[in-house]
Amino acid sequence: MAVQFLRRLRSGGPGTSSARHPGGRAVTAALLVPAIAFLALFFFYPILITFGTSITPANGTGVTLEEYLTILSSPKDWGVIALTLGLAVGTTVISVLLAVPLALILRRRIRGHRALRLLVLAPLMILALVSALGLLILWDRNGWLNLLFSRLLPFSDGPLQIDYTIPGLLIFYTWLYSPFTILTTLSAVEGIDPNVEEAARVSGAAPWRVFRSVTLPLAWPGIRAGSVLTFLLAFGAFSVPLIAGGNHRPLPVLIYTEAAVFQNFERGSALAMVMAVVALAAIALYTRFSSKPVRGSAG
Amino acid sequence: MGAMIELVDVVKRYGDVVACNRLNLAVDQGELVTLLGASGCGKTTALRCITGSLRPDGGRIIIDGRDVTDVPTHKRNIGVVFQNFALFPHLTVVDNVGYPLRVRGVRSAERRERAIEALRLVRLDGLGGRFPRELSGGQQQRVGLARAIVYEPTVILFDEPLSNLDAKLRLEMREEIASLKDRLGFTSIYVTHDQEEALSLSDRIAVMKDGVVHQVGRPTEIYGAPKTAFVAEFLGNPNRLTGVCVERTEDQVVVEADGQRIAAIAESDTPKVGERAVVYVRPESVRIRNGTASADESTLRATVVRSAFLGDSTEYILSLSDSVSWHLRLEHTTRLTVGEAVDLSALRAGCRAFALGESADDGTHRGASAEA
Repeated sequence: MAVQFLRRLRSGGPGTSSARHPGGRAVTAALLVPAIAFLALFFFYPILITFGTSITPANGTGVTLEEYLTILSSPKDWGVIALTLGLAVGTTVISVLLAVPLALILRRRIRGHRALRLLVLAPLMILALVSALGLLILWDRNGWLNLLFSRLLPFSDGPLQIDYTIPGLLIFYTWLYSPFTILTTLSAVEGIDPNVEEAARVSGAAPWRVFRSVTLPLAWPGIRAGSVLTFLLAFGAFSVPLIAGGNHRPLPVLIYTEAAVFQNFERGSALAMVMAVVALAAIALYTRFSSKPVRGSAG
Repeated sequence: MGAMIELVDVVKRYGDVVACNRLNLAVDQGELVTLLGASGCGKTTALRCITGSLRPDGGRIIIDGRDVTDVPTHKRNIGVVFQNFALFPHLTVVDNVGYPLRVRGVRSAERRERAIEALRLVRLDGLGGRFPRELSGGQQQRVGLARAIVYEPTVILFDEPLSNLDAKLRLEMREEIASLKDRLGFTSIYVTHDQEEALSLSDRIAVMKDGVVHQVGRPTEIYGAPKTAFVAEFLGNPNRLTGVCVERTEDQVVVEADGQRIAAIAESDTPKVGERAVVYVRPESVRIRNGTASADESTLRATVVRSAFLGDSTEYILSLSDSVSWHLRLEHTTRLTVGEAVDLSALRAGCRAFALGESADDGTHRGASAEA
C-alpha cells in the first residue's frame, strides 16, 4: 500500500505539476511540508526512539543486540510470531473467501441488498472492544449459539469451546476486519463492465471459466487492496486478543505485557521492531507476488 | 429453408411493457440483416434474446437448425461486436482475439497464428502485443471485430458497433465491416438506429417500432416503398404534409392541405376520400419549378424562411403554410433569398400517402423521429 502510494505520488504528483508550471516546484515543496513534518514528528521520530531503546543495554550505555538475539533464539518468541502471522493470514484468506461470493451476489441488486450492504458495515460502526465482549458472550459455553447448536445437533458432544481458542480468534478477527476486504472487493466487482463478461460468455466460456479468466482478474486489484488492510489490521490487533485470546497472545499483546506490565522497555521495543519488520516483509512479499495475479491462467 | 438464424414469434415483456411482440425474422446464410429503430423499439432486447442473456417469454430461437431457446449463451456459438467494444482490459490484443479459441481448447501455437491472421484481416498487424487501453477507439473496435470472427461462429451479432466512434471513423469502420463480410461471407444481424448505416450495409432491413417489425425488405424497397407511415417517416428524413384526401384513383391519391394539393402514390395504408391523410415527400423528389410542371408533378407554393450553407450545397427551410415547413437542399447554381416566394414541384413517385387514423398516431410519429 505504502509503496503504491509513494509510487503514485512520484509519478502523478509533483513531477507533472512542476513540469506544467515553471514555478511549481517551490509550491509543491511548500505544500508537502506539513505532511512531511507530521510524518517526521509522529512516525519516524517514535520509531527511531523505539529502535534506540531496543539496542540500549539495561544499564543505559553502549549498544547491544542482546534483546534481538534473545528473541531470535527463543522458540517461544518464534511461536508468537508464527501465531500472529497465522491469525493475520487466516483472517485475510477467510475474508477474501467471504468477500468474493458476497460481492457477486450484491452486485445483482437482489432484494434486500441495501440492508446487506449496511450489515457489512456494522462491525466498523461498533467499537472493537464492544464487539469482542459481545462475541465472547455469544460464543460462551452457555451462550445462545451453543444453546442453538445443542437443539439443532442432538448428537453433538457437549458445548463447543470457541472463546479463548484459535478458531475463536479467527472468527472474531474476521467479524472485525473482513469489512475492509468486502468493501473494496464489492466496489471492484461492481466496477466491472458487464459487457466484458458477456463477451466472454458469447466467446464460449462457461460460467466458472468467465469467473476465473475475466471476473477475478479484473476484481483482483480491489481484492488485493482490501486484503492488505485486513491483513495489517489483523496483524496489529490488540484489544480483541487481549480479552478474548486466553493463553494465545499474539505480538501486540506480548509487547504490551512486556512494556506496560513488566516495565521491560528494551525487550518490548525489540519485539515492536521485529513486528514492524515482519509486517513490512509480509506486505512486500504479498504485493510482489500478487501484482500480476491470474495473468498466466487467464483465458 | 437455409435460414442460419430464425426468430419465431419471440415475445419479451418487462412488466407491462412488451419489448418484443411476436417477432419473426429469418436470416439466410451469408446475409446481413439490420434491425433498425429508435431507442426503446425492442431491437436490443431481440439481440439479447439471441445471445441468451435474456430468455424470451414466448417463441423460439433457432440457430443453424438447432433450437437454442434453452441453450446457455456459451454453447450457442455466436459472435458479438459490442457498442462499447467490451475488450478484456487485462489481456493483450492477441490474447483478446485468441480468447474464444483458448476457451475452445485450441493449442497455443495455432491459437496465436489464427489470432494474428484475424488481426491482419482487420488491418491491425503488429499491434498484437498492446493492451486495449493503448489503442484508439477505432482500433479497439477492430479488435472486437477480430475477436468475433476468429472462431467462425454461426452468426455474428453487431450491437450498434459504430455508435461510440466519431463520424469519420464510423464511415471507415462501416467500409471495413462491409468488405469483411464480402470476403468472409458471415451471417449477421446488425442492430442500429442509424438509417444511413442500415441502408448502406444491409442485405435486408427490418424496421422496428414498439416491439413490432413494421417492414422487412431490401434497403431500396424500404426506402422507396415504405409500407407504413412510421417507416416512411423514419427513413430518408422526408418532408410531410398533413391534410384531407380529396381524390383517389387507381394509381394516385390527392391530398389537400391549406389550399395546396399534392398527388402521391398510394399503397397499403391508402386513405379514402374525405379521410385525414399524411403525405411524406422525399427531399430529392422536390425541385424548384421553372417553366411548367410535368403531368406527374404537383406544384406547391412556398416562402423561403431560412438558409443554411453546408459547403457543397445549401439547405433552405421553406414555409408552405403557418404550420408546415419543408427542407430542401440545392446546389449553389440555384440561389434563393430569404422571403422569396417560390413554386415547388414534387414528383409523384417520391410522395407516399397514408391514412391518418387518430391525432395520437400523429404524435407518436413525431416522437419517434425526434428520438432518431
